[in-house]
Parts: sequence; C-alpha cells; structure tokens
Amino acid sequence: MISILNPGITSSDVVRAALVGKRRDMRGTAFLLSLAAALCLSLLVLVVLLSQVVTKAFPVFTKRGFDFLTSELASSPDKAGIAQGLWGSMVIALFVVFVSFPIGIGAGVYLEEYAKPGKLTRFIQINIRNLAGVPSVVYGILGLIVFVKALGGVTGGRSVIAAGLTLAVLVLPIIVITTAESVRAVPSGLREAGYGVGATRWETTRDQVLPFAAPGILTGTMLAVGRALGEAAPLVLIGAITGRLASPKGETVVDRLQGKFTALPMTIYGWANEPNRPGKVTGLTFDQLTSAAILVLIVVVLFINLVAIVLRARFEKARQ
Amino acid sequence: MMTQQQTSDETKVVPNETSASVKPPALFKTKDLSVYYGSFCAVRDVNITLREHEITAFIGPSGCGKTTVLRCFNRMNDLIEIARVEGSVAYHGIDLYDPQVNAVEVRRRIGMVFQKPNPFPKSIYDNVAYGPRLSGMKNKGDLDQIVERSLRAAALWDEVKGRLKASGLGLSGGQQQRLCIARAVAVEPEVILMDEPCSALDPIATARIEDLMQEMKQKYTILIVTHNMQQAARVSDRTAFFTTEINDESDRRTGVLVEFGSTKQIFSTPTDQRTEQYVTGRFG
Repeated sequence: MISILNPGITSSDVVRAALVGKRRDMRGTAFLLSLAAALCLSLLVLVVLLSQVVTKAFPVFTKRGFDFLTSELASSPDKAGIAQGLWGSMVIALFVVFVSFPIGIGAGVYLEEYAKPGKLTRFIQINIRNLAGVPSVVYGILGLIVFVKALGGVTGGRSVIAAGLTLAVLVLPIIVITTAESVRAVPSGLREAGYGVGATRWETTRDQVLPFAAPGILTGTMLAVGRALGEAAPLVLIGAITGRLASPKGETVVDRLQGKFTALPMTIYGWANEPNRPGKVTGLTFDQLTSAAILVLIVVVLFINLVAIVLRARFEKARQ
Repeated sequence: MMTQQQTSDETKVVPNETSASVKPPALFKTKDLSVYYGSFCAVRDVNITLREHEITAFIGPSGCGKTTVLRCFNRMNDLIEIARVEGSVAYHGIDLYDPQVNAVEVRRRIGMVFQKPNPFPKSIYDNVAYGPRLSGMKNKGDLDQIVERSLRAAALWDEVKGRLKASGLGLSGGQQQRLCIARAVAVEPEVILMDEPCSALDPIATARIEDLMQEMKQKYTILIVTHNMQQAARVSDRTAFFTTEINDESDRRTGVLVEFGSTKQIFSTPTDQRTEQYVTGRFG
C-alpha cells in the first residue's frame, strides 16, 4: 500500500522490511531463559548436596579406610561402621530381585498381553497406578501387621526378611507399571509378524514381545531396586535397629535373616540423631560418618543404575 | 518405460484370462461374511470364492473393509479384541471359524505379508528360520536349506547370501518386504495373503515384488489387497471391488463387496456403475 503512495519505495524494499522482521520475540526469549534457569537450579542443588556429602565424608575414608565398611554399629564414632547396614540393604535388594521381579513382570505382562480389556482390567490398572503413589510409611504399617505380626513365625518378627518382603511389596506396583508400559510400546507389527508365521501367543510373547520390551522392563526394575534401597520410613515401622545397638549374630544364615537388622538408610537416620562429639582417637564425628554412609548408599545405587544402563544397551543392540 | 511395462502386462493378461475361464478348483468360499468392531459393522455379507493358483486382488476406497476381509482368511482378526466375525469362511470346505479349528494351525498354512515391512529384529537367517523352528525343526542342515530356498523364492538370495547373520532391519524397504515374503514361504503355506505389500515401497521395489508374485503363483494361491488399481490390473487374475455404503445405525460407513470377476472384465466391462466409476477414476 505504502509503496503505491510513495513512489520512492520499491516493492522489494517492502518485502525486505517484512522478511527481516523488527518484532523481537520477548516472550520466547524469556521462556528460554526460565527453562535454562530451572535446569541450572536443579543442577546446582545436586552439586551442593553432593559436594557437601563428599567433603564431609572424605576424612572418614582417609582416617578409617575399609574399617568403616567392615565395622558394626558402635557408640563411638571411632569404631562405628556400616557393615550391618550394607548387609541388610543387600538382603533387601535380593528380596526385591527374587520376589518382586518375577511377580511384577508376570503381572505386567498378563495385564497388557493376556487380560481381556474391559472394566475389570481398567479398574485393576488404575488401582496399581494408585498403589505406586501410596506413601511408603503406609507400606511400613502393612509390613508391621502382615510380615512382622501375622507371619512372625516365618519371618522372625522384626527381621530383615520382614523388611525385604515389605519393600518388595512396596516396589511391586512400579515394576508392574513399567513392565506393562514397555509391553504396550512393542509395535503391533512385530506381534502380527509372529502370529503370521504361526506362532502361538506364548511363542510370540517369548520370542518377540519380551525381548523387545526387555530394556524398558529392566529400567523399571532397576529403578525399583534403587527405590527400595533408599527407603527408611517402612523400616522405622518394622523396627530396624538404629543407634548403638549391635545386632546379635545367629549361628546360621536363617538365624541372621530372622534376627534384628538394620539397613543403610536406617544407619544414616540413626547417626544423624547422634550427638556431634568428635571421637577421641580419630576426631571424627557422627555427622561425618552420616555423610560417609550417604556416600556409600549413593555409590551403591549409582552402581546398580550403571549395571542397568549396560544391560539395557546390550538388549537394545539386540533389537536392531 | 512404465507404459512399455503396462502394455507388456496387458498382453500377459490374455493367457491368464483363458486359464481363468477353465476355472481352477475353489480354495476359499465365504458365506455371508460380516465383521463387526464392537457394534459397528465394518463389512457385511461378503460372498466370494478364491481359486487355487490364482492371484485375487481386493480393490476399493479406504474404509471399504478389504483388509478386514483379508484378515478373516487367516483369522488375524482374532487378535483384535473387539472384532467379531459372522458367517463362514470355508477353506477346503472346512469352516475356519469352526470352534474346533486352531487359529495357529490356520496361520501356518495361510501365510501373510503385511503393509509395512515388519522383519523381526533378528538376523536375516533367523527371520526366515523362525517359522520352521517353531514347527520343531532343529537340524542345521535342513534349516540352511529352507533358508536358502525361501530367500531364493523371494528373489533375495543373491543380495543377502553373504550376510545372512546381519540384522534384517539393515536391509532396504523393498528387501525387507521380500525378507517378509521369504519368512512367510519358509513354513510352506498353501496361501499367501498380502495386505498392500507395496504401499511403503518405491516403484522399482514394487515392480520386483509384482514379478515375484507371478512366479509365486505357480506354487501358492495369492490374495492381495491394494490401493493401486494399476497394480491390481497388472498382477491379478480376478478382482473384487469393495466400496462403502451409508449405514443406518451409525455415521460410519459399512463396506460391501460390489463386484467380483475376472480382472479383465472388472476393468473393461464392469457391470456395476460404482465399479465403473471407481476403475475409471471418477470416484474413490
């Protein structure tokens, strides 16, 4: 329009002005900046946490070394260690692996691959999702009532067996959900290909669906183990030992499994409540021991994640 | 080049036509075949007879139920929970939907090639050997033989013989589809159902598959669903034209079989006006 009225301006000037664009995308820039800020903030929190833990824990490892990992709970920060905590956490992880992996993966595959879609299936799926959101302390009460009291004869009461079973139940919904989602993500073309050459449902599930879903299932199960290792609240209710009580040792493995126990999160919780007096020999405080135990727990969980990543990469390679 | 091929194919249609008039024995016979998805009738009252060693093409606009009908011939619709089949599909005179019939056995005799090439995420060898292995074949020598024969039958052997251990997903789209054909013929089926097998392929790969179908016809009965009318005209002996019609109960359209006859007749002298409009490109 302007170019018609002003003979000095050619049409290409108008087009150039329009293409160059003087409008600044202020909102877009603000949005980008806020996203970057959110990322930086979350990283910052992580860095502060980790650096504090590492700096506090460092003297424990230089002064005590492996002794810290092999010593039992004690009243002096010179002697206290995480041996029982490590053992308890390891047993709990084994319970999760051997109890909740098969049950959770089985339930997830059934829900997605075999169950007839309908109101009942939907109802079950929704409830499993809700179960995954139930606070862990509620599972502690369940564990107290079922595994400590009702099944006390088998579990030995406030034992690592009761704790392992409780945490296995706690992570069950996570495993069911991730398994079901991984199975759902299997392309239907792959299933049809299996059925198309005359495979039965079982053969298709075994040869096509499960191998394809394996990386996703694996990720879910490893997340579940990590979650179980970090939980303290249910263990409080079940009655894991904290503080200075050394757990009594039994003659056999069964005795040890049925006896009193602790786990890494409980050791951390207990030590965090200790008075902060430095030990006479090493000068270490329980505050520093707490950080050292936290560091060990983080390393264990990171190691499990690393194993999961390696296994996952291998499975994913297999499906290409 | 395309026109040359077409004319050569048209001349090829003539001997097919004479053999079709002799009428080979019927292999499939459907009676009032209707398929419902829930309460929606996707296709209704299909009565059709497929003959041995012929290529039958299903053509028609989208949503006319041609793929749905195809998937009744090896009970692939069983996999869709809400699908329900009424009427009967007789194969050698036996109703495939008889409660005593095992769908898995049906699919071993009636193989399928899908719209999108879907090789297993395994080696080329394992893709082809999967079916025979399911039937209990373990001997390495026998499997090697079957794999080679099937890959030759799918005109893929010369391209992959040096890399049988490589992943089937590393092949090109056309090669993948031929691998799927090899996988289907490895279990020695009698029939091969092809659901738009070339819709994801380029013209050269399509031409190879079409040539392959002519060779495979000697051994198998082939049923192909295609969106491409020229393809139906080029490869098939008989053509069935499906369309959609207004349905009283829902706003979705139900598929119906309009006309079924020799390919030459369908494309040159269709009896139904809707067929004529479709094959001349005036609708659909």
